[in-house]
Amino acid sequence: MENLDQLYEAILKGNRPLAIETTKLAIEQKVDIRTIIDNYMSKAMDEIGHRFENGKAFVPELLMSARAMKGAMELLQPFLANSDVPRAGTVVIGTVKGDLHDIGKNLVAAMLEGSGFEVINIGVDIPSGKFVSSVVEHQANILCLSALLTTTMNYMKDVIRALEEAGIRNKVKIMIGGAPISSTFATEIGADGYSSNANAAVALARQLLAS
Amino acid sequence: MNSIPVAYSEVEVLPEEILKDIGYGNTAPESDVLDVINNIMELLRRKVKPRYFFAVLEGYFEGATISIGGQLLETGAVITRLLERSTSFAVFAATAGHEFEQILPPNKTSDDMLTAYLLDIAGTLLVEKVGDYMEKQLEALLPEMPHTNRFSPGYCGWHLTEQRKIFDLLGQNPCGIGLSDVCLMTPIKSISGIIGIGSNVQTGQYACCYCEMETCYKRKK
Repeated sequence: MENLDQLYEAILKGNRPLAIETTKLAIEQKVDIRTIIDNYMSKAMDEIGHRFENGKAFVPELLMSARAMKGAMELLQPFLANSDVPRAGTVVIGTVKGDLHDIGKNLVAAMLEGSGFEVINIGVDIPSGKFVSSVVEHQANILCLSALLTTTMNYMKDVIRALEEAGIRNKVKIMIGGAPISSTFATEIGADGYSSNANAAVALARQLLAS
Repeated sequence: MNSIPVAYSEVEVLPEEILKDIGYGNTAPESDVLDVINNIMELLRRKVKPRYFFAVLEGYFEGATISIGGQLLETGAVITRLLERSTSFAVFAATAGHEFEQILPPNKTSDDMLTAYLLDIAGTLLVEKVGDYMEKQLEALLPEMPHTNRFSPGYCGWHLTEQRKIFDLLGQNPCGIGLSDVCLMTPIKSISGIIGIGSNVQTGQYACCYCEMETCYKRKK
């Protein structure tokens, strides 16, 4: 198919309608699913992430690219089950109990979705039991915890303890983030990683699953 | 309820302020981003009803704490030092308002995340502008009397739980702002705190160099 470069450009530019249209065409022309994803879609997401890291793109561009990627990926979903394309992983994400902030969490969720992860966003003000049951129900590989208050960040430790008590701590990687959070705090409470922004969260998620 | 409305035109958020906050310098955003920002501008003009309230109260220092209206505020070493020589204090709250929360997209999925993200930035800018406007009203009330910058619980070593004392001083639910058991204000785009007042106070003394919160979102900019 000649126009697959257009798919790369559509995702890079965050042009969702064009990304969807080009993907439909590629499916009709029976282009290999893995080729579409690996050679065009993922490369476009890598490039926008690279531009973000270098100050040449900003969060809005990341979001637009993720939205275009998600639109195209939805078309490919029915073909993925029978393909040899490896799944990125399943992520449960939520803001801890007492905290209603959700914009940072939703940015991370959008970027993970746009990067091929299956994301279950369970919302805000989430008690530890709900995190545990969601990880079990969805067989999540990664649990992302968010908090924006110094009064709620310590609840992340309670969530980790609940996972330990449920006997599933070693089955799921835990990523944390939020304004008062640091990598030092992540280490202190026994999380597997900390990310300061949505783009870095994708890289961290991939790194954790590869380790 | 202790609350003073502010005309939105007095505190209007401008597109260039949103772009600057995101980090755009010489880089131009995609036209889709500008379209969303322009829609947001219109929504804000039509819908939001920002409010503020402050009470000027006598206060005095007791070691590292400040006694105001029967409340002993443990503002921490850094802020207490920056408030030095204040003889009275404006205890304040300000908010973008419940109407702002109502214009947020109901389902913040990736499909409307761009709008949600840009609105979040606009809301932060708006409530800070309401705070600036409130300071101008304080200056009009007390002409020629210097005052410090605004200081809020949650920053610079002043623990967030101290916010309860601010709310006790202002009367419950100032400007319609609620305070949860973990001291989360709702509407989320709200601020509260104190401003030191006195003929010999330090003005303009507030910067990241005074604060130990390495991971603060403001420091990262």
